[in-house]
Formats: sequence, C-alpha cells, structure tokens
Amino acid sequence: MIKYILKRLAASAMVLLAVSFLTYFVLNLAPGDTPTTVLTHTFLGFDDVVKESDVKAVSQMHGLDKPLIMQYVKWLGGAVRGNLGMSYSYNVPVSTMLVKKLPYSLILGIMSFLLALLIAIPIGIFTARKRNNWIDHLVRLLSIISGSVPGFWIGLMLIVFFSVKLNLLPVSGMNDGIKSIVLPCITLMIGMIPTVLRVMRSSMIEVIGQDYMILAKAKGLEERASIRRHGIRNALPPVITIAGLELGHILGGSVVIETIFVWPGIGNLLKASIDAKDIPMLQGCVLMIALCYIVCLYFVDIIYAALNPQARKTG
Amino acid sequence: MKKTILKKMFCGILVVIMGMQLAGCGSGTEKTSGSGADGSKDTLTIGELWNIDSIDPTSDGTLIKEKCMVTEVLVECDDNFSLTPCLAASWKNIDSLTWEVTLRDDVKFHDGTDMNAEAVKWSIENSIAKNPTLQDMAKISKIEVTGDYQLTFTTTEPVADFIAGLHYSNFGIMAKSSYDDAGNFIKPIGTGAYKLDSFDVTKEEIKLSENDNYWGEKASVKNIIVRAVPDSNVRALSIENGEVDFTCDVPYNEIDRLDKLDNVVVKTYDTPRIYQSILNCNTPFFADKSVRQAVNYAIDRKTISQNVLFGSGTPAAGPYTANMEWCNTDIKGYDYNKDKAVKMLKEAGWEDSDGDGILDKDGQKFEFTILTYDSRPGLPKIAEAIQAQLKDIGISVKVTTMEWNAISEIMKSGGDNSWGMYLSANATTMIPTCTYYMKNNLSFEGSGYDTTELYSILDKADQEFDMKTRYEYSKQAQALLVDDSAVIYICNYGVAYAFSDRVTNFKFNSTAHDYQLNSTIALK
Repeated sequence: MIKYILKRLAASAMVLLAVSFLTYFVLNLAPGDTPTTVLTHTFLGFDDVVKESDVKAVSQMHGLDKPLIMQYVKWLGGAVRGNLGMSYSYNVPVSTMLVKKLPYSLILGIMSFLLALLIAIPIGIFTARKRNNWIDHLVRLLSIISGSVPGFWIGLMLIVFFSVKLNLLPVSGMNDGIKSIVLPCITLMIGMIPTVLRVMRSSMIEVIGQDYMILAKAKGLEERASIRRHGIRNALPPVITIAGLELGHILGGSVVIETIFVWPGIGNLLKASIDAKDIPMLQGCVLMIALCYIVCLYFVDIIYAALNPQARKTG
Repeated sequence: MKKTILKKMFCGILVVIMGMQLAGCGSGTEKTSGSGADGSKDTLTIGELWNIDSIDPTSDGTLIKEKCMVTEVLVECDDNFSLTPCLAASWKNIDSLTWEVTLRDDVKFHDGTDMNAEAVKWSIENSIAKNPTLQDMAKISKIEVTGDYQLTFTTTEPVADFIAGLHYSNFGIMAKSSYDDAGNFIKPIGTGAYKLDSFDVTKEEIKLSENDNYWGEKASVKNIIVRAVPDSNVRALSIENGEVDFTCDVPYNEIDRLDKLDNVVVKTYDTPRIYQSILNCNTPFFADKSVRQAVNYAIDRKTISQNVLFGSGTPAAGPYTANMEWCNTDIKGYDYNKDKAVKMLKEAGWEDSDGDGILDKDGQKFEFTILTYDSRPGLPKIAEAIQAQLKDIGISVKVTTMEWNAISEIMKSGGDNSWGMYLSANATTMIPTCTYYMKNNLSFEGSGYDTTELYSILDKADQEFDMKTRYEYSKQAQALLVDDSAVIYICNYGVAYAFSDRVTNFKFNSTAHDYQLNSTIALK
C-alpha cells in the first residue's frame, strides 16, 4: 500500500512538472511579448504605445531579459522550495494570493458539486426506472438544454430574474454572506447536473438489465428494494468516475462564472492574470488547478476500491 | 444488512452542505453597506470597471488619485486642459533646465504630517524609482529643497512641458509612512479628500472615509466603497438593482434602456481618447495620399457615432477635442461624401474594370484587412461599420480581431502588406500637453508613413518654451496629420456614466480617463 502511495505521489509530481513546463512555454509562445504586456498593464494604459527603453526596464525588473529556459529553471528552483515567485501585477507572493483565493473557489465548487449530485443521482435513478415515460423525456430535454447553454448566459439570466426583477439576491460580489453564494452556486450546478445525470441513468439502465437484477426480481424482491440493495452499488462506479472529473474541474471550470459574479476565487484570479500576462501568478493558478485534479482522481480511485472489492485486489 | 448506500450518501452530502453554508456565512460575515441597496446616506458605492489588483499610487495612480481621491498631484488641469495650482501653489521656469515650484503651506497628509518640500522630494523620487516609465516622462536629474515649501527641479534636457508631466496621476504625492520601515508598501497615505481605510485584495474592494482635515472643499459623502465589477453587463445590472451608485462604461446598447429606468441616470461624455485608424502606406493603394483622403471621405462618422456607439463618442475632425487649448479648430476634417471619394479614387486610377464590384488598378485589387482588438468594445463594431461603408465604394475589407500586443508585433515587424488599417483607441492627453500624444502615443511604426515633416514640427515645438508658439506648432502638426490622412480620426472616445438617482453634484472632469470624482459628489 505504501509503495502504491509513493508511486502515486511520484506520478503526481511528474504531472505537475509537465504542467508547469507546458504552461510556461505555451504562455510565452502566445502572441505579444511578456514585458510589453506587463508594462502596459501595470504602468500604462493597456493599449498605449510603448517605448523600447521602458520595455527593457520592465524586462530587467522581472528577469525577463534572460533566455526562457533560464527563467523557467529559476522559477522551478524556487517552486520546489515552495516559493512560487512574486506576482507582477499584485506585487505580492503568488502563494499569498492563492491561499487567499482558494477557499472561496473550494466553497463555491464543492457546494455546487454536492448539490448537483443530490439532484442528479436520484433523478438519474428515477428516470432509469421509468425510462421512456414523459418525465424521462422531459428530464432528458432539460438536461440537454442546461448542458448546452453557456454558463455565463445562465448566470446573467439568473441575475436579471433574482437580483434585478425580484431584488432577492445580490448581483455580484460577496458582501451579503450566504445570499452571495446562491446564484453562482446554482449557475455552476446547472452546468454539472446533465453529465452526472445522464451517466447515472444509462448506467442504471444497464444494471437493471443484468441477470442478478432479474434474479432478485425472481426471488420476489420488490423493484425499489432490489435497486437499493444491488442496483445502486453496481451502477455507481461510472458515475463516480465522471463526478470525480467534474469535481477536479471545479477550480478551472468556473473562470467565467467567477468573473461574472465577481467571486473572489481562483478562476477570477486566473482571468485577471491572463489579462495581465502575470506569468508567476498564472503558473500558480494552473498548478493549483492541476493539483486539484490530481487529488480528486486519487480520491476517485480510493472510493472505487471501497465500492468494488475486486479493484482493491488488483489495484 | 447495512442501511442503503444511497441514504448514507445523502445524509453525508447534506451534512457537508450545511457545514459549508455555515462556513460560507463565516467567510461573508463582514456585511457592509457595500450593497448600496440598504439606502445608507453616508456610503457611496462605486462599480469600478477594471480589476483592482494593487493600490500602489506609483503604478495605479488613476485609481488612487482620480477614482479614490486619496492622493493629489502638484498641478491640476481645468476643463480646457490648462494647468491650475493644486498642491503646488505656483511654479516658475528659471532656465531651460530648471524649474522652481512653491508648495501650499497648509496641507497635511492623512497621518497628520506636513506636506512640505522634503516630503514631496521623497515622494517624487520614490515614484520614479518604483515606476520605470516615469523618468522617461519627467526627465528629472535632480530635486533640491530650497525652502520649507519650495523645490527646484533640474531636468536632463530641456522639457517645456515639465510641469504638465507632474500632473500625471502616478506622480501622486504620498507620505513616507505609506511604507513600513523595511520599505514595504502598506497603503497610500495621501493628502486627498478621502483616506484609504482598507483594501481587500480578495474581494477587490477599497474602503475610503472622508478626510476631516482636507485643505480643499470637504467631502460631502462620509464613506466610499470602490468595488471591482469587471464585466460590463454585470455593471449595468448592478446599477439597475441599486447595488452600486455609480459606474462607468456600461454596454453601449444598454444606455437607452438604463436611462429610461426611474432609479438610474446615464450621461455620456467625450474623453481625451480617440478612435483612430493608422493606414499602411506600404500598400499600393495607401501609398497614394489622394487615395487615403478618398477613404477618409468615405467614412460616415455620424452614422458610426449614432448607430455603432449609440451616441457615446462624437465624430472627430482631428485628434483633439475642441475644449483643449491647443486644438486646431480650423480643421474641418472629412465630411462624409461618397461621390467625392469615388471621384478621387477614379482620378487616382482605381476603377472597377473587371466588373466584380471591387476597384482595381494594374491588375491589383483594392482589398485589405483591418486589424483591431476587442478589449475596447467599440472597436470591432466600428471596424465592421467601416467595412460596410468602404464596400459601398468598391473596396473589399476583411476585419481581424486579435490581442492588442499581437497587433503591435505585426506592426513592429514592419514592411508588411498583410494589413491595411490598424484601428485603435489612443489616449490623447496621458500628459496634458499639446505634443505628447503626437510624439509618444501615436505610432506610425511599420506603416511606412514618412514622419520626417511631422517630427520636425514637433521637435521645434518641444524646444519652444513659449506656450503660444508651442500651440501654433502643435496646430501645424495637427493640420499636417489630418491632411496627410496616414491616420484617420473617426470619433472621440465616449464614456457612459450611470448614476443611481440618489447621486447629486457630480461634476464631470474632462481630463479624466475613465472617471474622476471630486469631493463635492453627494448623496440625496
């Protein structure tokens, strides 16, 4: 078991290394050189004409005049010691900003994730049992709609309805305690439900057709009871996989929604850092998102093992 | 048999959610009057359009000086962009390199210390050390304290607009106590009408309270909250719902709707920024001045102003707005005249000889790409309008929207015929002088336009210390720019301010870039 965990940790470290390497170089491949963007974003207007001398000064200020690979090595050297560098635009250590913003993203992400499960799983099971009746069709239609409409539009519509028309909830920010989280949470949740719901439904339909379910029926077990005892446990693994992926996605997937609702999380920070080409901050955000993914997948494996004894032996 | 997994799972999830809600409450406990909806008379909430990532006056001067009123500069500007005293009571040009500035003697910083010559010297030197662009602007070689309230500035070269440079908001004067003993920045301690109480970098929110010892007209509103609301649609909804009392730059197509609401007033103003299009003179068509002028005539500015910008931004004849002292008001610009454009193009040899609807000459078709960026939402729409208007006279145009700095790289590579126009919005008075924009914020790099004549006029202007003569040179340069048409001036950059109906006494400041508040702003 310890060997397994160590192996996992080593693999995770490799993934993070690869992610950081890719981010660093892809960012610098993007059009527009970094010092110019930092200069216009931090010291001038973003579309002001720049002077070469100023670009040079900013390059030196942040060590951007060295070859890219040297910059990366220097960054990596700091990162392995836990120093992610200073943000160009915030002018504070990257880790400080991440620590400040992460809890907000986690609260929002996990809350909407759990709510999505709470809604999607029972509905998925229900529609699998009553498949092809009108409720099933309605649910499928709604899930297609909610899955295909972009989140920012849903967010804006919710604001128009609940904040402007009904004046029940704040438009944005987080000055109203629990009220502030309602709309961003619902918006995120609406995006998550269809995936989980559809996987739950199809997985359950498959399980219902299995021999052991027919046997359960044959031995006189009520349908509800047989689903409760045998169905769910067998139908859950694919749902857990997909839910784990969704959960891993909560930090990176809420960029637009956090921006709309001015929610002070990692997504918002990421968006601002992209605008400013604040490379250390961006690196920090991307690593945080990758780490979140890795941790979630790790937990998926553990839950898998708990649910399925076979996976424990072979895993 | 154990209880069902489902039940256990649900119970678990419910418990976690309830826990999170408690946590959510905890983290959001600081319930402030941030929502203007509470109708508090003492608090004005502002929806700021940019992310608030820092409150350092040396790089975020516009925010700290113009929007928060925390710092002030030595000299202010009136509505005609002529300099007026602020922290400096007077100034004198000793010789071409030396300037003497006398400060007001009745100003205190927010920490109670005296705003005197020593403090100003420290502040300006600190700004230059922290912000690499400032030295280039002011070209200061030495600051000497010549009296308790008197300083002498020496410049590295003759800078006629030296004093105007000090108006730049990143030169906002702050006390040494803005930094801790180790030299780390804490918060700006200025002299302005408002003190900065707190800055929450997570929520991107600044809280201000009135400065009881302000030397100027005392603030009327006790507290101000400046909150970042970077999405323009959300800004519009926030003002509609009453969550903010004032915001700027709501979507153009929302102006009419918002203004019709009972609780919202929208006003549009021109700002010192201009929608302009640089033409690529390396192309076979734009190398010809008469073709450039023809295209200038073919652009219908009135339609763009009314139907694209929804009145936010008036048609422009030249680079400057008429209220600027140095504006050449004799320039009539290019009134929309399609027939004249067609005629001029024909005279220049551009005709549709093969009947495909596109002008051509010597087998070369008149077609090009407009490069623009979308971080200023008016730009792509103006580009489309120009596209349609030029199609009308047989010019085929493609519009490409990309990141600003990607365009700047294309321009820098130079000698490239892949683009025909570069549409942008440039500030005309980063420093309120008659030459700064033409010299520094208007770049013909890569466009193949011969700037020799333009720069010879501007250089003459910059060696001249007599304002009247300088303005004459500036007017010459403006006339040259408009006549040569290597840059086409389209519309002034308008800004839409949205106020809740409880805001009164707002005085528009024409020198502001987004908006500039002053202490008279009040709440009903």
